[in-house]
Amino acid sequence: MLCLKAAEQVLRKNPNHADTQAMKALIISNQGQQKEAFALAKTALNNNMKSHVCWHVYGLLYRAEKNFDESIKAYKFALRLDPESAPIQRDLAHLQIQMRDFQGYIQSRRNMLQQKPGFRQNWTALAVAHHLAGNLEDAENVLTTYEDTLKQKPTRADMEHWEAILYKNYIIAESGDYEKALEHLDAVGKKSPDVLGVMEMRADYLLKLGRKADAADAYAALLDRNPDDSAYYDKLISAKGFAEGDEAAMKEIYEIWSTKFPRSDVPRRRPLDFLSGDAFRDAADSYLQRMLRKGVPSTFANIKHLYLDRSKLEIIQELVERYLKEDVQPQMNGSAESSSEDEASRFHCSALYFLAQHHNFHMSRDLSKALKYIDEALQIDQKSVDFHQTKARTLKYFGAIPEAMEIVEKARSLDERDRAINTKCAKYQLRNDQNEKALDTMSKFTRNETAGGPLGDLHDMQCIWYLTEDGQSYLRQRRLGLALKRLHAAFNVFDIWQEDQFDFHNFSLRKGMIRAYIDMLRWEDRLRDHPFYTKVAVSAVSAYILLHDSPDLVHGPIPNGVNGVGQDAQANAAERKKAVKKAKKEQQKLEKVEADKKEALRTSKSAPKATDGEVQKDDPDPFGKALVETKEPLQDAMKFLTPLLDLNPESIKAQCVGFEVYIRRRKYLLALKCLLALHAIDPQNPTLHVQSYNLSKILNNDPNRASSKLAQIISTEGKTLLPE
Amino acid sequence: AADNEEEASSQLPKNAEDRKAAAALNSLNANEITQDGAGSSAAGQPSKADQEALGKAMSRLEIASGAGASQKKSDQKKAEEKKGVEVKKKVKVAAEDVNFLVDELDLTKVKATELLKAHDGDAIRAAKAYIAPPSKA
Amino acid sequence: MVDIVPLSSYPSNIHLLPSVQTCNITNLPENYFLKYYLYHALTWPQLSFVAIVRGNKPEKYPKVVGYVLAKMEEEPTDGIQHGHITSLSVMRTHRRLGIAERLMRLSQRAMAEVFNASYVSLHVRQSNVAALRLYRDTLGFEVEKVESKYYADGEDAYAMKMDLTAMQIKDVPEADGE
Repeated sequence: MLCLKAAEQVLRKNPNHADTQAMKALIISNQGQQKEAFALAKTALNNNMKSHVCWHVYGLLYRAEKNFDESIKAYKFALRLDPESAPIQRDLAHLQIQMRDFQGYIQSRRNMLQQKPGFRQNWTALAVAHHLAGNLEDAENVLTTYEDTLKQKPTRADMEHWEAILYKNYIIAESGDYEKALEHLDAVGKKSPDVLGVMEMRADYLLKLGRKADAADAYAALLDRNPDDSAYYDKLISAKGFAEGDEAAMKEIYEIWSTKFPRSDVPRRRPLDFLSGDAFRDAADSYLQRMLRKGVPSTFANIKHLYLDRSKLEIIQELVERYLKEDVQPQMNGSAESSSEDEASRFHCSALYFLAQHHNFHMSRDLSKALKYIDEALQIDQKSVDFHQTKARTLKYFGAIPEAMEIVEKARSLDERDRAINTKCAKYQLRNDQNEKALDTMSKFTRNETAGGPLGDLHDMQCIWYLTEDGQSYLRQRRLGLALKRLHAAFNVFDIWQEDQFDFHNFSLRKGMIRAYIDMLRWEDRLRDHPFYTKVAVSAVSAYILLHDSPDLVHGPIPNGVNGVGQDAQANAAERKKAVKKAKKEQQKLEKVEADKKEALRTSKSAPKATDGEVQKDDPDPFGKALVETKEPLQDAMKFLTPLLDLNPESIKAQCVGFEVYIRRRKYLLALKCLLALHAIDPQNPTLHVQSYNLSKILNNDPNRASSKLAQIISTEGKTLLPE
Repeated sequence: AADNEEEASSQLPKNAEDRKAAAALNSLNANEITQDGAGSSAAGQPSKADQEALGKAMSRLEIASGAGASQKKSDQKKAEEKKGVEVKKKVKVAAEDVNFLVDELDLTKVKATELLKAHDGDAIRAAKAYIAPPSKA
Repeated sequence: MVDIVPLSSYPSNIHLLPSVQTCNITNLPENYFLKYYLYHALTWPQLSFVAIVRGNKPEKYPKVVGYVLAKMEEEPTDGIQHGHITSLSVMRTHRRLGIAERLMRLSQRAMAEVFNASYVSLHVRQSNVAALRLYRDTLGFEVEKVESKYYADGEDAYAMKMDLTAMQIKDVPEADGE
């Protein structure tokens, strides 16, 4: 506010002072007045087209609008006017790396280094630029060139230095020269304080170089630090070069570390993966008895992956059932009798719980038995949150969603301080399409004073699972406005995550953790290959397909059956009209309730105003009306579909929804592309057959699309897929 | 900027956890146009490198870069000469074919043209390549 | 079967951050946007660890069942270089397997080794019996003080700390001097 007053004071005396106008534009932009800021910035530029300050501010405003291309142009203008300006050069560089303009980034970083060669981070930045552009040798040389200038030996505490050393090593390894990387690591890298990182890299190189004895020692050393990483065991065993199927030798490896680290689970649990027959039975018996005696509720969760092997499933079931029948006596030494009795009871209860989960699991499902066992367990411990949760799951699988929801609510009430069971309860409520109830449940742990209340906090804290589940629930209910509202919100979270990298372009060079920075950039490039995104995108595209097929849904959910085909056309039309009218009325009612709530809230308390700074904005469209009233649902779907197919081509669901969109858009080659991808994944997929038939039928009935090129491509590429 | 800092301080969250998060993230702020390019805690002062050695290093970097560039230039030149002949041979892409790919494959004109050029201007080969599933290698 | 791996040292698991964030918001009232996790991962990449379920085949996105998010205190009020546990959580489905203990030990060791931390601090709700058992009884933390109304819902916190000096690596001068 002080800056704004100062700027206004200057402008009072000198109304057309361009630089001050630009600064004012920047300030009011930060206060949320984007339109006014842009107008003022343009005025400033008109007053002085030769001011690098004005162009720089213009670029900042475009950057804030995420119009990166225009921002880069403005920055380049500014630099032309003031080539020596470090801030402008730096801002341009950040934009270039944000846009992955690697050649531009190299040039900017070269310029910055030439201006200020005394700063190490400018050398590192040029190396990063070369590295990302693929010039690994150049990147290495830049780092080496700087290192050769150092007259003092860096101290151990000089993290920037040691991280730059390891970054160089990372680059050398990436070029494939593991011999050189290992040599460099042993000569210099080993002095780095990042002990674990050095050990990991070294072990990795040794194994890749085939130096098996050394690699075995290296992985043994890693296991001495962390016996809970199964990859270390795999690599140690690989380095040892045991004969295929030498179970005894492998088990011996695990015994070494289970003895050294009795509190670790992996060395005890992992042998169950590769042992078989009687050896497996004995090991499983020991493991299960130990875990069940301790009453570890996670035992089944930790064991269920073994069920891929049917024989192991049967052995485990047999063992635990035996524990129940015989009530196998504890094998403890010198325990008091009361302690033994407690342990026996815990053992018995744990076995019941285990078997209940066992019979819930899809590979060993027997829901009647699951219910029987869990009810028995609940008789012993009526206050167990876990037992209630498992019973709810059983009921869910029975199809009794409302009953399941009730049981989970009971579980939640048993431990109101635990967010985990609260989350589970809300999830069941969403699965039962109780959206208001779910939000109320979530509100017990959200910051409800934030703008938008509990839902606003879930947005702010990027609770992807809730936004997705809520959206999917509304989709099930055919309330497409709200469904799209939530799914767009989830999509926006990914946009925020994409944008989050921006500040690290500067920050990471200052902090010096370059390897992590590079890893982040690479993650950001493939951000949307995450399963969370797949769920969001598939659901959103499905909603748009539904909206395209049934445009009346814009007015709200219409009961199923009204779209049915069993009646004559005239009666159907009348009934449909009636249903649409009713849906409209219902929607208006909901909107009025929301509006009244907002009004009451507004009058009850004074909303935060501009004096504080940022205005707390109300959501102008809480029901997603603007989204659902789109004139081009299939075009809007592409926003979700394009990244989905680009980054998740192996997803069956992605290819299926992609086909449905492309068919409706009459992009037959792209529809065929989806079918070919689906066929490559799963040639027997039933949806593939249905969709192939549909494409074939459409093509046969669409003479306009039978151009020679299209027909030729389809006839050859679709030959194996499309029936005549 | 002072304005940003003032705004942040007034909006600081009520409890300790949130204050920590907000304060930490303010340290990321990069939009200060008055800040010198390299001003920071880690690199507030020029590094421990010898200044004379730095000057030599800059020269060496430029020489190395130049040498590398000239070497790459010769390689690129050979590649470009070879490619140049090819490109001149294949520069012809029919507007009709570009439009076909734009319409059928939902591509921009730039991408459609690139795709055509990569397949000798043959729209059918280009389209077939585009819709082929990724090979499982 | 649960593995414990570094978040963003070598190899990188930074792509698991959305799942770490979901683990946090599923289990704890104290939540953060992803940028705050990135801030930890890019400032102190050696200090945070993730617990993942390794199934039968390798997965790019395994299930995250636990994490420790850690940092170095940037402006220590006592002037002593020390670490701080920002957040620790294990999914209910995977408790009592020793995951939290292993996550904490790995993080603490890295604090001492990499950043020469003299001790590590953390806050815990007074009512959180299980966490107190882990910190006080298993790991050896001591309560330094009670911080009144520390949490957003008004609950008090125990401020706890644990000495790490035994794990520090002393900077040994090299034989050739300088």
